[in-house]
Amino acid sequence: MTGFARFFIPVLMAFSASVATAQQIEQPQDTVLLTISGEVSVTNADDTALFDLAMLEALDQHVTDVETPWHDGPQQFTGPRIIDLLNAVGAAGSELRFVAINDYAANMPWGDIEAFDVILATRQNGETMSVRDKGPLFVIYPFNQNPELRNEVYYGRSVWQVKEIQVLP
Amino acid sequence: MLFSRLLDTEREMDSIVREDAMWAVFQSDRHLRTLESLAFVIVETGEAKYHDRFVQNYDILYSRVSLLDGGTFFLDLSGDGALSRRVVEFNRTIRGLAPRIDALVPASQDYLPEISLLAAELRDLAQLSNDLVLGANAAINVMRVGDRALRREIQDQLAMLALVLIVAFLGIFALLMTQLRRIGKSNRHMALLQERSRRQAQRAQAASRAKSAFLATMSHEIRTPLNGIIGSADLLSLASMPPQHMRRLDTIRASAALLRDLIDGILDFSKLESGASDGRLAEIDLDDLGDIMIRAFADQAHEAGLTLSVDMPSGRIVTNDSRLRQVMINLIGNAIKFTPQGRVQVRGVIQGDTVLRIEVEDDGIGIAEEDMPRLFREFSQLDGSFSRKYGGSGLGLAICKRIVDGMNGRIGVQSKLGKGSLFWFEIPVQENTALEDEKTELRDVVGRSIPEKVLHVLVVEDNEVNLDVMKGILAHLGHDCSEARNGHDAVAFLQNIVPDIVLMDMQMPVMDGVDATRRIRAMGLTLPIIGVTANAFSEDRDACIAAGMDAFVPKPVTSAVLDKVLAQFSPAGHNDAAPPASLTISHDARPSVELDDMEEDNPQLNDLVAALGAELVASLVDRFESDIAVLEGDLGAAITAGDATAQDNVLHTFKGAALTLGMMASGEYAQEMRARLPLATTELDVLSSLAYEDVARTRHVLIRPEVA
Repeated sequence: MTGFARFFIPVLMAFSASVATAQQIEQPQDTVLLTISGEVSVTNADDTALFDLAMLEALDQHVTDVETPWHDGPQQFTGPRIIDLLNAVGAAGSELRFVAINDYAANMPWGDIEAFDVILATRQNGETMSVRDKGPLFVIYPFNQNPELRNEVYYGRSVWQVKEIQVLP
Repeated sequence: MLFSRLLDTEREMDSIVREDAMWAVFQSDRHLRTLESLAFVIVETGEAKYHDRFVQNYDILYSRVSLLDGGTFFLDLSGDGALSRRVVEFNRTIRGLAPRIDALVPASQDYLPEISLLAAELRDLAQLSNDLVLGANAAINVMRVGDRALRREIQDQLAMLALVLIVAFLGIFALLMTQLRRIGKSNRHMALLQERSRRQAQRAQAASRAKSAFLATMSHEIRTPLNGIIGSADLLSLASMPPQHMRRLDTIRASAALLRDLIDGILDFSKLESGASDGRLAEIDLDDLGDIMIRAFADQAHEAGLTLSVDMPSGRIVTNDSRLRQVMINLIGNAIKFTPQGRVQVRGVIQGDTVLRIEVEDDGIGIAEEDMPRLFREFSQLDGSFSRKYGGSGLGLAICKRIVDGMNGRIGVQSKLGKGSLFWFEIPVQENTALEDEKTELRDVVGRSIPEKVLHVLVVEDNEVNLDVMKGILAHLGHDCSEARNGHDAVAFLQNIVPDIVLMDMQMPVMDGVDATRRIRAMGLTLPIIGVTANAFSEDRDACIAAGMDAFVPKPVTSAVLDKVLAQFSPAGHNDAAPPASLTISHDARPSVELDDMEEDNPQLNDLVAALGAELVASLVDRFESDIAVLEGDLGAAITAGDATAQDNVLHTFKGAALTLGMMASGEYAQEMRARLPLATTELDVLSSLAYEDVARTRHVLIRPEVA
């Protein structure tokens, strides 16, 4: 019995250590722009995952040319796809809640990010966005590629000045 | 109009913008008040720790107000644009604060006074913002009412439209139902009509069949009483009567004969119509066919002063030969009949090995174009006056058409009134000789395919007494009878009508029996011909058979012998190919009759009485008595002239009549006299006294009750 324990305990420890390593992401080095909370398994602060601009831009970047109701003329937005972002933090839920700096919030069904290339834009026309420019983070639906999205429901889910994503079960 | 309103997307967009604009104004107001509160807190507490929140709130406000006059939320709520101007002013003022906000440094001593200043300005702005909220709300309310009114109007219009549509739909539905009902009704009506017309067609067909059957039956039934009329009139004509009565009797006889010819035509036609056509095929030589036609019509054409030419191709064909001959005889007969002068040309040609085309062209009276269509129809002789002038039933061409149609051929005519006619027909034929073996067998069936108990018999006889007796016996046996007075008439008769059997007298004026038989056979007719002769010598018999007769019976003819012969040669009862020569009843075999016995037993006379009745026989005896006077005159003249041939002729005729009436003494004596020509006057006296004795004896027998 002791032989068994002697053989297995280090193995189990090594295994759990490797799992713990996989569930960690790096710590933000700059100002935290985004907090992902709720049903996430990969975190870097308590039960949440914190992101600064560099971490967001380290993910695969997606470019969307789009016309929105809040801008004059077509705009180019750049940022990670939300599905990639949530996969990176091991999120597993059915609904997302986006909270803005001014406490505006909107819910989005998980299906949206699977069906469409919805991005969390960090840059508008190559520039980062200030709060005055409705930044720093802006949920952008591909309105141009999917004109059927042009209605109040999706406009309402296009939250700007995002500061937090809650992954709801 | 309504649709353009419904489709007014711009207006819909306006309403979206309006709601969003209201939201934007309200949010701006909310952030402005928060900003003002924060400024107030900083001024009151004098602490700079709320600075970051103050700045962030300004940033958010800044991002909000930019929407008030930008993007798609640009607000233009009131018609005069006053509200818009105030929004633009508010917007500009808020943004105008940005440099001053950015310039704030909490550590600076100017910080608090500046915040205090800003707080006062923000309070004024809050008042403006409040006015904006209220103004936008009021404007939106007005527009909402307008929208609602418009919506109601549109709804009313839609309801109206829906009502109209429902009414229209109901109307269409009702119309469709009516239509369907009408179609259904007309379908039922059509079905009814179809059924009715089908029934009518059936009835018509049944009527047509009944008509044909009726015609055939009636024609046949009419023949029997008609023969009675003809026979009686013939017999009546034997009696002596005033000349005007005789003329009327002649009229009766002529009319009756015409009627019988007509009925014969109808019978022939209805036989064709009832489909009783024989499908018999035989091989014939076209040259022979041409010869037959020439021989058959040469005399007739010559008498009419016409030139007749027949041009047939050489070769042998297989076809229904009797039908072919019947059509040709009909067409050629017609051509001769309707051609006053000129030529009749008959041409035959084989087309493509399988079609025989025969053309009969004449220089006759021709046919008007409008008459052509009914030319081949039944009973359609073109002009009533024609039948008076030319006679005939008008069935000839109809029969031809029936025959040709039955052979799957075609028949037609080209003609012009006064320019002659060209009748033609085409029938399919086989041009081979493969049927050689069956030929003989087939030929035997000719004309005997219609089994019938009642026979149609042609009696060819020149002597009126003999003729009357023959006809009487035939009528007694229940057969139909036609007559010809000499060989020439018989040949002419057979060109149109083919009876079941011919009884042919041998010695006749114009054309004798042997000659006539040869001609009939030359025409290709194979019906049985029975010779009737008092010349019972074997050389006569040989001549009969050589000429083509099937058998012969001796005079006097009795009903028993005739019945036997007719039964033998009846098409129904006839099976043997060659009629047995043994049928010929030998003259020698006839029982010799003693004068004394005659009074008691005269089979010939008994037979006659049984067949004709005592009254008719008595009238015949009267007629014979008057013939004795003629005999005395004619024979006396011949004896005086020393003309042996004339003597023989007179004796022959007398002998025939005498034996027929069973007057054996004078009959036998006349026959004996013929063996020792020329005669002496005394022999004439013996003969005439014998004849008168015979007459007296016969009369005596006739009045005996057991004979009568």
